[in-house]
Amino acid sequence: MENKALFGSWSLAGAAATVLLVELFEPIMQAAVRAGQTAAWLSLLIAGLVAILLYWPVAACMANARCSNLIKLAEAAAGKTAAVITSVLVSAFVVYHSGFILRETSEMAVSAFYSHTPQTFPMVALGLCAFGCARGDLAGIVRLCRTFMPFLVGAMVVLLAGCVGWAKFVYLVPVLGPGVLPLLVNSALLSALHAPVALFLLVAAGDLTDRKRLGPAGSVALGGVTLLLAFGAALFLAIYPLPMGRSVTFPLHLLARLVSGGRFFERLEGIWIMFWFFATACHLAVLLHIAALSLRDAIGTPVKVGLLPLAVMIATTALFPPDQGRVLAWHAAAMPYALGVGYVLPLVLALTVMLRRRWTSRAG
Amino acid sequence: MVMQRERIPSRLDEARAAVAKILRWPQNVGIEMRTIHLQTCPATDLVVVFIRGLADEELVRSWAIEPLQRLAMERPELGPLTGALCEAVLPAARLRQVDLMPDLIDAVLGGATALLLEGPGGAVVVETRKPATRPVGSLVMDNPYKEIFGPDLPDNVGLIRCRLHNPDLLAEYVDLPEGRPGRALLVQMVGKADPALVAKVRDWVLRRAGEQRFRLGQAAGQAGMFGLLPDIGSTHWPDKAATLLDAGYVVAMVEQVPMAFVAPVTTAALLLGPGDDQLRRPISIMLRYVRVALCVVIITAPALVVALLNYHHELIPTPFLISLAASRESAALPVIGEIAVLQILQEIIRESMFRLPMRISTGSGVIAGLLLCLILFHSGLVGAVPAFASALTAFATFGLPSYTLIYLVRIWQYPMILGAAVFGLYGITAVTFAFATYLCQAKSFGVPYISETGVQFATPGRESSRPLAKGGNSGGKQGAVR
Repeated sequence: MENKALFGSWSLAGAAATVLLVELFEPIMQAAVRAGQTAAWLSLLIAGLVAILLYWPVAACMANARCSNLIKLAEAAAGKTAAVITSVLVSAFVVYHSGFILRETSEMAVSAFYSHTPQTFPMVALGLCAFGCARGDLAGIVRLCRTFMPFLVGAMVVLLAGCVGWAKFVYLVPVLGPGVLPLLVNSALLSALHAPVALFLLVAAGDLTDRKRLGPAGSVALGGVTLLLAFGAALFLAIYPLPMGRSVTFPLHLLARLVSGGRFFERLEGIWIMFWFFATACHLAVLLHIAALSLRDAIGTPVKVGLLPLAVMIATTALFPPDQGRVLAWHAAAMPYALGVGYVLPLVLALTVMLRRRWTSRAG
Repeated sequence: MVMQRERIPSRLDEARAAVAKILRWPQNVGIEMRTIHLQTCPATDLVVVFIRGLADEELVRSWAIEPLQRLAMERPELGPLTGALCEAVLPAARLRQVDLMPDLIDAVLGGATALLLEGPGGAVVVETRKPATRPVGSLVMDNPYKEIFGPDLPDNVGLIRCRLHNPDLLAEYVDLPEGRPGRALLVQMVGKADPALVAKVRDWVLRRAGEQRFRLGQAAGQAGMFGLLPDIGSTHWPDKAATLLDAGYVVAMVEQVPMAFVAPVTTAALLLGPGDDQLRRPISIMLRYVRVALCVVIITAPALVVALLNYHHELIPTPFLISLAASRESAALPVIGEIAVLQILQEIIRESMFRLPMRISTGSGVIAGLLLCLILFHSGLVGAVPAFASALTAFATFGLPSYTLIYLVRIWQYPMILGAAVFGLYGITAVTFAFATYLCQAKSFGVPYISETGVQFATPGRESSRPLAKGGNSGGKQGAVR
């Protein structure tokens, strides 16, 4: 009999970092600029910290309660119905978020490189790659993400280092942006950006070799990528001052155009699209797979059976908005609700399980 | 197994049992332990221990056994056989007496023959190592081991033992079902190989041993979809097999098949070249990265040319772009057409090379390739850049150590070129992602192709290798060879 394929905490951390790195490419950076203004980098740091603080107790509780993943946690907290509701919420969030990420990436590819190509073409290529990847087992997907991680991080570091020469850090003043209180509130809401990776970690925990390492693995990934994001945001605003920074949709693409290596290396932004594709495809594959996994754990649908309707729904969501502006607006409008699915719901479930266990032990 | 530095027992049956336990006799193929009854007065028993494939059996007979038998027959009055008598009779230059068990085992693993005697004298060791007269492989490598596997199973195990010199190396026959022709054996390093992996390989051998394809030495089965990845590797090289065994892999051999099957297949094993274990560690690691780079070149070079010339002119330095544009003024075919012509030509030359006599095949292939490229270029049918990319991929394939790997990367070139023709760099990325997904999902005997740590080479005086983790798990951290 074939044993279940497992993965270690470092693999999980690497995969989570790859899933998170998409944020550097996507217009989410624009949300950070709006939230923190000149202190967008600080805002991202605070958001990362809040995400870790919200995620850690859930991971710790899951390890202590011996619940293999979020759906099992929901089942332990409030029975089968809660498990079904949680899996539906997770799937709905994945469909909505992934659909828009898919659309944004293909819009970007068309607007930057393939102006004569219909935007469905790159969307189909990316969607098929992600779907094909999601059909494999979770350990294989995690291995793939972990394999790409060093290349993605390396490419981002090179890109950001290549732009440092253009930066004028005086643009980052005032350091606290809109002021301490608005900055804190906006940044806390911004932690919703990390909700997809929190969900990934909590659902994928079932296949982790040592569940006690779930908290550290997630925190390392969140912390590491938050630093990179903060550096990226600081650099972006140090090159494109706030008024312009607010209106830029794909900041990394703009930064990539600045990287040059003398007479022989210029206009290198075409290379970055490769890394963008890898990160986005990994992101979509991971989210699609965990949605199918959550449905399997809740209602018993086999993963491969659950994938197809989810993929169709994601494609429909991606094609639904009429234009790029509407895609960005709708995605940004929905993101705060991710806080509920990504952090509040798992936290409530974890607290319920802990309290129920305490009552049970007292009664026993 | 760590051996205690204890003395060889004075009682013959105890000494025999101790040696049998350490060398895993009679289970371990190639280990010969014979008891010879000598007609001295009183009669003496003598236990002869040697390893087939390492020791020359003719020398064992003529230098160790026959002189003692002759002495017993001609001078029975000399009494029971002792170490001193042996020293007097056997060839002095090839003889030494050992008292400690590790020294005895070390000598036997080195090809010597041990003579165990009754009494406190320890054992006598006669140097009977076989001279290297085995099949010789490629001479192009800077590799002290030129030998390759032959058709005889114990000899092949001997070739591995020459390199591993470890009593934990266990080679055992697999009991094939009734009616299955031939014999097969499994080789493993006890303590390093995962028992679950060994069981899976044993099952595989039992399932396939009777099949005609297996007997012809063709690796059967597939690890991934489309049959591109084999589920078991093969090698002609004993040093490669020894390196992989030391890293926890399992080797299967079949009678009359002059190669070893290695399980599981991983990218680390595919990138391992013969003779790599003879190099210093940083150099062998560098070589592996060079081979990865060669794979990348083979897969992407023609596709990159198509993508850059068709879609991403901005990535080409301006002065070069101007000269490229000028040269393409008179182009007869689009870039994708030029690449297609060159790739077809390359495949034709490569297949023709395989059909030519070995001595002239490589040279004539290279010359034919160069000539045809020049003719195509001067006739204006192909441009300089596509011709360069195609020649580069052709030469890069010579640098890869495994045919499995060569075929894999050659096949992946074509979807890559197609992706580049349709979508430029975006298409290359999509195909690369699909390829990476394919590799990451593929498993061989439950161990992922892309695993976590590399094959480690033994360093003198230190326990080598990070073996395949035990526990029989089949994914991620578990099975990881790399």
